[in-house]
This record gives sequence, C-alpha cells and structure tokens, in this order.
Amino acid sequence: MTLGLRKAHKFSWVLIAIAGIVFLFFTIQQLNFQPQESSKTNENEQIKISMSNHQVEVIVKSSLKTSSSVVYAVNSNGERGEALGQVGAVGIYTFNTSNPIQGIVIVDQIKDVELTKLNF
Amino acid sequence: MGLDYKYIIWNKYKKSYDKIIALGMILYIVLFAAITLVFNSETSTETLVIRSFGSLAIVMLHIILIIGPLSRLNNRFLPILYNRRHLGVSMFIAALVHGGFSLFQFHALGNENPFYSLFTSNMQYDSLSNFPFQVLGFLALLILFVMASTSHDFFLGNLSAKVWKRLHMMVYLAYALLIGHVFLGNFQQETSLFTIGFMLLGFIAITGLHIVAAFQESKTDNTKLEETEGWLKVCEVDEIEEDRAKIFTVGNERVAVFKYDGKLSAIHNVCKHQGGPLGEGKIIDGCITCPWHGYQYLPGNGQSPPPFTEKVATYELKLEGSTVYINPEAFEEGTEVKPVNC
Repeated sequence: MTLGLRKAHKFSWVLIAIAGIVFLFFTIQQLNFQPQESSKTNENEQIKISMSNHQVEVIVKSSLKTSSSVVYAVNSNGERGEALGQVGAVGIYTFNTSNPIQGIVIVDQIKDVELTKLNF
Repeated sequence: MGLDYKYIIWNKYKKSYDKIIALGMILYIVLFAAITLVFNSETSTETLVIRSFGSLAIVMLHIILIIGPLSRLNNRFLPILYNRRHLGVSMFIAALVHGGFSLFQFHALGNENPFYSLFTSNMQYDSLSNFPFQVLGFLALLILFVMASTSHDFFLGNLSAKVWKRLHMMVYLAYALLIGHVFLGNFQQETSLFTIGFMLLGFIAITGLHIVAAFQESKTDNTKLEETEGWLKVCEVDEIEEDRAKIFTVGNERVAVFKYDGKLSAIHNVCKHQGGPLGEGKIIDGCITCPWHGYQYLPGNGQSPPPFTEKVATYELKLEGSTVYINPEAFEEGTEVKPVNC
C-alpha cells in the first residue's frame, strides 16, 4: 500500500473504534433494563387484546365483516381516545401507544358504529 | 496479470479455496438449522433462512476483515489473503439472501412499496436504541453490492489500483453499519447474549488487530535512515535472507532490497496490481513474487516478465564493506539497474 492508503486505513479504524464504543455506550444507556410490566389481557368471542410496555396486541379471532374497522384507545375517562390503527381479517395486529389506556374500542368508521369494546 | 481480460483466472489453489468456502457455508447453514430446530422447533422456514444467512454473512465478514491485519502481523496468513475476494463475493451472496428474505417477509406483504416501507415503517430516527436497524442493514448491503460487482480485475484495471482500493475500503463503513444493524436489531427484538457477545468480541478483535497493524506500519514509516553523502544507510548485507527482502522507508516511499544469487537489487515496494507489499514476497523462478496475488517482477529492472506489462520504480544500491547503501532518488519505472554483487 502507499503511504496515503496506510494513513487512510489507520484513520478509518481509529474512527470506527471510537465511534463503536460511543455508540454502544449511549445505546446501552438508553435501554430499559427495568423489569417489564406484566401484560394485561381480555377477550370476547371476536377479539383478544393484551397490553404491555405501551404496546397493544389485538388478535382478531373471527372476521369483523365491516369495510372499515378502526381501533381506538379507551382513555382514563372511559371515552374513545386516540386512533391506534385498523384491523381487518383474522390475524394478529400490534399498535404502539404513548399514553396509558383502559381498553380499546373498534369502530365501523363509515357507519360510525361501535363494533366491540373491551377494557383491560 | 495485465495481458488480457479473462472472466476468472482459475488455478488449482483458487479452486481448492472456493471448495472450502462453499463447503463451509453449506455446513454452517445445515448446523444452524439443526441447532435452531432442536431448541425451537416452531421456527418458521422464513425466519430460519433470514437468521442463518444473516449470521453466516456476519461471521464471513469478520473473517474477511481479520485476514488483512493478521497477514500484516504474520505472513503465515498470506495464503488466505490470496483468495479473500472470492470470500467477499460469497459473503455478499449470503447477505443478499438474508436481506432479500427480510425485505419480503417484513415489507413486501402489505400495500406499500417494500423499499418505501423499509424506510418508513419505523420512523424513530431520532432515537438511538429504537433507531430503524433494518435501514442500516440495507445501506450496508448496497455497499457490499457495489464491492462485489466491482471485485473483478476488469474493474481494478479500469479504475486504477488507487481508486479501486479506496472504493473497496468502503467495507469498513459497511462493517460500522452492520454493527449498528446487529446490535440494534438484537436490543429491539429478542436479546441474545450469544450474538451480543460474539459481536463485541469480534469488534474488539477486528479493531484491535487493525489498529495494532496500523501503528506497526507507522513505526516503519517513521524510521529515518542515516544519510551519508546523498546515500542512505540501509542495513548490513547479512540482515537480508536469501531470496527475500528487507523493507525500508525512503522519503515517503517504501523500498524493498532483495538478496538473490549473490546479488542485491532494490525496487519500489508497492505492487501495481493491488498495492501489495512486494518486499514481503520472495523470489520465485528468478522473479520477485507479490505475496498477495502472485504478480511478478524482475529484480534488475522492476518489470513484469514478458508478455506482461506492469513495472515498478527501481533504485541504485552500493555496498561498502558489508553495509548496504541506497540512493534515495528513484529511477523511472522499469529502469534497468545493475545489481550489486555481495
């Protein structure tokens, strides 16, 4: 190798070593090592819901038979809160939420009809 | 060498190495699948493919990156360096299988364009621990693609050794991206202490060896030769092994002084092919042979034997008693210089 390439190699690896250590330090610092909160679950004949660490999992057990099924959070007042997302066919759906929620309500958005509601 | 274009120049050593690479890859995949199915029989085929090929690519990348400094520190590793490019292309194929299956499994089954989905499904670009790690893997895969597709000597010849080498140093950036990809993926998904431990040890070994080798090289670069009336004192003639060389820094250039058949000759230490250290090679069939890929030069004039056309600069030597001196002014590449009898 030429002198320039040797210097470039040396600079690259010193940089990678420093950046790697800084990256690992700050990443590990941001990780949450607290024990995870136990998940809360509930279910009815159509859906099963569970929540842990600000993540809501909705398992659709039988088809909701509507063209638009929007999942809303139920807030601490028991009212319809933020929209979390949509569900459709049978399957597992996961949504993130930043606020504490009491449950979920699934709404036919076109007819504005509550299809099902579940609290934790 | 530089005579004409051939798709791949095969020889029995390359074929043997390639067989070892292929068998090693197959063995790894089979073992990975068997161990996974024993400990987690519910693993889907897609997940198995993604994880086995992803981890294979990471292991291969570690081997590739560790070959360079190991060869600098101990020339017994040079034979592995000889076939590093094929290992690199094989690693890219493993990474492509991992990336392709991941893109399909996680981003191609929805309504969005999978590439759009890759960049937008997780928008936490302002978080370090929740950063979208798949994006880092995708960027690394793009770099590996550029490297694999330009790995042939055709591109080396057309881009020049300097540009090609700098282009292929992007593997370091790919490695940095993959560290982020694997660590963040591990932290965000299921935490595997084995994976984190492997990556940490690999990171320490690779960066440590590269830095040790780089500082050793700097030491050689900074060693100044004693000057006497325009000549630099190199060493005692007995310090050079027969058919081998000693390497010295003359100005900003490295020069290799070879001893062979009772004679001494000096040439520029940098091979025209990929910048290999000619002084770490030996004289085979009367030619200085580069330890990296076997390119050859005649010691008396720095020219590759006909019909090849590569040539390197030559230097004038003189012997006073048993002490070797070199004229620091290089001759034009390929200039005939009468060897010094010793």
